[in-house]
Amino acid sequence: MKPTFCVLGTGRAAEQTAARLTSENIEVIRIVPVTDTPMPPPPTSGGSTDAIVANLVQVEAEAGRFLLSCRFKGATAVYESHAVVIAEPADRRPPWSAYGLMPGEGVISLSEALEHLDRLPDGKTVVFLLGLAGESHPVVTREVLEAAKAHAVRGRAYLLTGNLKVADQGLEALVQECRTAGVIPVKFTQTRPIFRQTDEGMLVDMTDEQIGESFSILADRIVVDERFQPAGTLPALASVFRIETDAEGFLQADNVHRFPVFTNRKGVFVVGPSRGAFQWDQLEADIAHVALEARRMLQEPLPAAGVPAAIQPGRCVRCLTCYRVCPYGAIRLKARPEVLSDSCQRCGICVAECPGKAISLADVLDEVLFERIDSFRRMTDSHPSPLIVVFGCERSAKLCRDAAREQGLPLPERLCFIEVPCAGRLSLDWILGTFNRSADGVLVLTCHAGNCHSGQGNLHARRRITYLREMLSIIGMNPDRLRIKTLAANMPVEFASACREFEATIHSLLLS
Amino acid sequence: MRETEEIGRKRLDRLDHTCLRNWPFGQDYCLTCAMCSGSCPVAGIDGFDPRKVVRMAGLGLLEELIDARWPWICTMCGKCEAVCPMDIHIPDLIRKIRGKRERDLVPGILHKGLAAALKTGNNLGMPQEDFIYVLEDVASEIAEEPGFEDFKVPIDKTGANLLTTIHNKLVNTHTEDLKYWWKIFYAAKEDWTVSSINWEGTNWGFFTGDDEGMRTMVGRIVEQMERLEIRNLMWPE
Repeated sequence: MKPTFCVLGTGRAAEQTAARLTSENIEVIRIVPVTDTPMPPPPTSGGSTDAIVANLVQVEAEAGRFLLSCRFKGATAVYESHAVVIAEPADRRPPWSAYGLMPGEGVISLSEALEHLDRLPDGKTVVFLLGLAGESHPVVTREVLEAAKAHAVRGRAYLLTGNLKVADQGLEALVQECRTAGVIPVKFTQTRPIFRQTDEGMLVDMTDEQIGESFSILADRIVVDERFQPAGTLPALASVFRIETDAEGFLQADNVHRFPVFTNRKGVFVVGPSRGAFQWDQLEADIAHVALEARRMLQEPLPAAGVPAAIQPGRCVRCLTCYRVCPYGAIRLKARPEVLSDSCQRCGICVAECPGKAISLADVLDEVLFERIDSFRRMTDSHPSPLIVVFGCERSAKLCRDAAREQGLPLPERLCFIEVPCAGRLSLDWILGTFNRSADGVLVLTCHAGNCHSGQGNLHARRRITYLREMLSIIGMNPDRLRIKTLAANMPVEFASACREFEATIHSLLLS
Repeated sequence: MRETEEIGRKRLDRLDHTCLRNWPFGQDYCLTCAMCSGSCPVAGIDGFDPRKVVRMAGLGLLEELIDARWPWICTMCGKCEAVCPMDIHIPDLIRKIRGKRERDLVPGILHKGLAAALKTGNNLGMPQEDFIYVLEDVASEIAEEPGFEDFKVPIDKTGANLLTTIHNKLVNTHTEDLKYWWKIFYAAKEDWTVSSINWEGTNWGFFTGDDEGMRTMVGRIVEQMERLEIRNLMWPE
């Protein structure tokens, strides 16, 4: 099967992505997303990779494919693809207001200076601003340094910087090249330069912090650095695809499981400046990653991630809780909610949250779980130690448990370990049911905050445990019989000691 | 007065930043890390800070540096240079600035001492007979100590193994300090000597940035080695 990829974006990132995928023998649809409604597209000549300018209004996912509805004036077209790559360029904006500057004859943006070299004429005094309104990005740093270096041999170049970050290939050497070329750097840590318009031109007043003296520069040009911002179309794309964003609005959450090019939606990739990676070599690496994923799809259908969640129609009241909490956008709203089996990653958050108990995960059923605990208890009944049930995420605590065993680390004698696909699967019923089956203590081990594959599964678990501990107090049980703790996959020693400490706590509670 | 020429606010763009660029001290490569400031034993005195000197040189503020007291606060100990990650030769830079000052504006004792040394052979302008008297007096004191009864100070001994120069304070206020060296020489049976002329070991041409004066002072020591046919020099300065 020849997969079709839809590349969404304008400019270099999108063009390079489309070219690379085409060279991998993949059918490419290129859509340039716009927010207003454009004229209908010209009739496509089959297999063309010409970009379609479209207002993407709706995305429907089906088994292994996406249906992208685009609205044009008086028309709607639906494009079908197996995967989507979002490759919009980032917006670059000079922080004019942070500097108290207005663009004009003598005050220009970095982009303008780079595009029109005649804006920095020979013999002129040029003041370059860098990173004085927030940290500068290495890409911008490089451009400013290159521009300053080039001008220094033709006129006066002053580089006014904040904390100059040179942690990128060759940047430190470039700073030295600037010095050699005659760029005069002025570094500001406590103070900031002040700009004012005079009869003679723009005057920069400042204190050289190293020698504590005040200076002025009469600047023929001030070149203002720029900051990267998410493209204007990204919020709409995030919404239509239901993709998590980072704090700045780029289409990839700060979650290690999403790196390099993944999103919370299976089959939706994000590259370069759409995910907040602005170096061109990073874009190339991103595109190569997408090509790799595409090749994988060429070879085999999307691998099924275990048995997906299933909604029992008779119990569902269409409250849409599942739709709301699913971190993978795997719930499709038809006449009633349905699970998209290709998108479901079987975290079980929906199972635990569903108020109608209408959702099940076939491989982690309640009866199976309780039977495991019951039989463990029967097997170890003669043992005097307290019965400890530990629920652990299969991505972290499970690996810790395996390693702890491998290393022969001492563990509680009556430790019943139950791995769950995500701590978010732990329902109130499970915890209470476990106590009901004579567990002396229940310990819940989740991934660290910000490190959950399912985004917030660990936070769901924490919220429920906090709630349950209060409940235990109310019904007269000691809340310390229920604990929650976070672990990374490489912490077997901490796993073992947490289990032993918990056992000791429970032991002392039983004696008291 | 024009708006851009306010008092206390220099126009940076009117300075010649390149005027010192041919200086080989690397002052333009300062990372402003302040390791030099942290290591300097006299930083803080009258606002002195080696990093400021480096910065001012980088900006081309030569007149200000020449007029400043800072370069004369520096002891030339070289700690700053040892810790500088960019290998900026700060003591050499300081010395260059000192050398740019008009000679009669060099701080008094240094200026007068060097002038005296160039004229008389030592910074104190001490006559030869006084010098010999002090040396022999110290030698006679050593000879009073047990085990040093036959101690004598060898002056102008041709063909000795080692010529030693004398810091002028050792024949002025710190004569006791001569004894340590001399007793070691005696115990080690060293064949040593002192010149009766041009014996000064302190070269204030070095500290004042006066290359010509420094050359003269060094040349005189070489002359004494040639005169006395000595191949080894101990220059305890």
